Amino acid sequence: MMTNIDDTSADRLSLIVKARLVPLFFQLLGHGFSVKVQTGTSVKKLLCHQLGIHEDYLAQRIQTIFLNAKVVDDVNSAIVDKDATMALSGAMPGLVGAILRSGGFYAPMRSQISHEENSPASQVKKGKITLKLWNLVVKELGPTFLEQGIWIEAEEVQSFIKRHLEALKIECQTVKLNDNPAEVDRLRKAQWKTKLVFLQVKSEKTG
Amino acid sequence: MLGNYDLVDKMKAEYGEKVHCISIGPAGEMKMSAASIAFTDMEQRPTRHAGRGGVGAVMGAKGVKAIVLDDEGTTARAPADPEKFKAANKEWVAGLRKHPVTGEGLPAYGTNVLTNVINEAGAYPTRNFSTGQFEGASKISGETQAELENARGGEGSATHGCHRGCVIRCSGTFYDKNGNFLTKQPEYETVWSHGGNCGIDDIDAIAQLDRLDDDYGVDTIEMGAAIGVAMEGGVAEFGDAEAAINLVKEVGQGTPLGRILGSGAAVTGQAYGVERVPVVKKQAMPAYDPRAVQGIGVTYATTTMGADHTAGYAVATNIMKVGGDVDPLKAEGQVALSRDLQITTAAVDSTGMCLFIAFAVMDQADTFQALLDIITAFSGAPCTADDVAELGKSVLRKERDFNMRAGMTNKDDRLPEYMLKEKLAPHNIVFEVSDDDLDQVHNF
Repeated sequence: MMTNIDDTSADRLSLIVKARLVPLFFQLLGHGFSVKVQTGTSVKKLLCHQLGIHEDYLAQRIQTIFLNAKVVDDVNSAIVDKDATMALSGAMPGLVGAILRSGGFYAPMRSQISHEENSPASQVKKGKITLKLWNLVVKELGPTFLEQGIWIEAEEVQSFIKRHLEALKIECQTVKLNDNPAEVDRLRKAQWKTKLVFLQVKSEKTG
Repeated sequence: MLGNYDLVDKMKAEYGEKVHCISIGPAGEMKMSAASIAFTDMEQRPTRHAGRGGVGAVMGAKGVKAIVLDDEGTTARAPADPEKFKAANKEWVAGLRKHPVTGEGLPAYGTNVLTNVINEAGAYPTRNFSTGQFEGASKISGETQAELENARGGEGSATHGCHRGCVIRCSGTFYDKNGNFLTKQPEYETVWSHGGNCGIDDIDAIAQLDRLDDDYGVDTIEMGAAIGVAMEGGVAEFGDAEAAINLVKEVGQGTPLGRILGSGAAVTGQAYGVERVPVVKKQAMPAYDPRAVQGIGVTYATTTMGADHTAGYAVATNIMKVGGDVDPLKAEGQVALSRDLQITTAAVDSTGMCLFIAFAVMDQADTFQALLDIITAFSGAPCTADDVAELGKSVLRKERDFNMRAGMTNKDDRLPEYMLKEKLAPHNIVFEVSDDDLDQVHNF
């Protein structure tokens, strides 16, 4: 899975936490995080060949896919351009949940918001996209993304730390900012160098 | 007037600790159109409601405050063929457990798992249906809610059945910041109606509103929609959670403003001169904007009880070209298209099964067969797919006939006019299904 970025000037926050705290960070993955990938390629190629998601997992577990707020029915033809936003979810309940299912039987009932690939394939080049992971998908893929590291807006990191300060103080075993030991309390008021922070969260079991 | 919670305590004191209650709150006593009928859950709390359609007002009009049930000394009904019933039930449970919606997503996150997805689709009605995405959605999502519930109440708090033996267990328990029970896990519709639709992103405030709705006995969808209209009308600011809580309290107290709000979104809109009122047949729309998901718009427009997101399984496909380009005036091909969906609403409702079985039943043929086998084994009368489909059609015909005889016409099968003209962001679309097409929906 490739979530590395070559921006060496950005702040890098590394945490080793008790295993039970890892799910708390799923909120950040649900809100949206950045990954640098080769854009101009299909949804399937990006997810499977670049981000390392297994093809079977994509076919069977990721049942609702959005690309720039439109529902993707064909992962082979939908092209991901730079600065795109992609959201991945498990199967949803309700009639509308069934309607939004990727490639679902009821897709015509939301044709106005279905992704249609009308433009020719863009040139493949390095770019950034925003990825959002939800429900069963964030539960199953989230720990790996967190372990490898994600790029997330500094403002969002700050807000997260403030909201969960007590839990972080208790459950974080190691906190490093730019490879230097740091305290959670001080991070609350940190002045981040860039708009995006590289956040890595490992469980004590794997750290 | 007693709220439902105090009423249940009183009934337990009078009739015994194990009784259950069907009751109305002050809203039903005051015959407000948004009044619900409350049913006690497994913990004997009045958290499960027959919310839509003003049934609480009907019960209030008949002068019935509560029906107390004591099953001491009674026995459960026995299936006609116990062995076949047991075998069918085993298949049934296995089918529900293996489906990702009923076996995983719903137990883990409840119906509020929909918030992130519907918001991303641009179909999340925000600030009285003025836009399709809410910036605070992730703060009130099912994922956030489940995490909070489990943190406050212990692991497993976000998974709970609303009746004994429920396999899906999509409900949960919401505790306040001090770890005290506040309300059952608010559903997607409630979190939306009191949340995004009112510009509120505080899950604790939303849970408090849910508690008040249950206690006063009002439909949470109608209540949130009415408050959204009231906010647009200047009664309160969008996003003001404290104001929203006070407005619901006025409903419970029966103040003049409370009586307006408790009469629903349509009456509230009329009282405050608000044109943008999201109702069909005077019932408020639920948590999906029909301009983004036009199929649900067909449902809202044409279902017999007004804007309803659950009944429309039966009626939308024949004009939405689901499964291919089918001429809606021709019967051939339609039965196959519409049968599955008809089964999953009117017929499922008639069996008393939870509507959420629909997803497993629609996707898994063996699970659908298990449903037929259960009905056959319990009742002793053979039940086939055609029987269930016919049951669904029969119910819909009767409901429509009732409406026609009550004076409704096809002109009532329409969305509010502003949804045909006002574009909804982020997709900038209006409702496009023609009146002629809507009029074809009930041709079966």
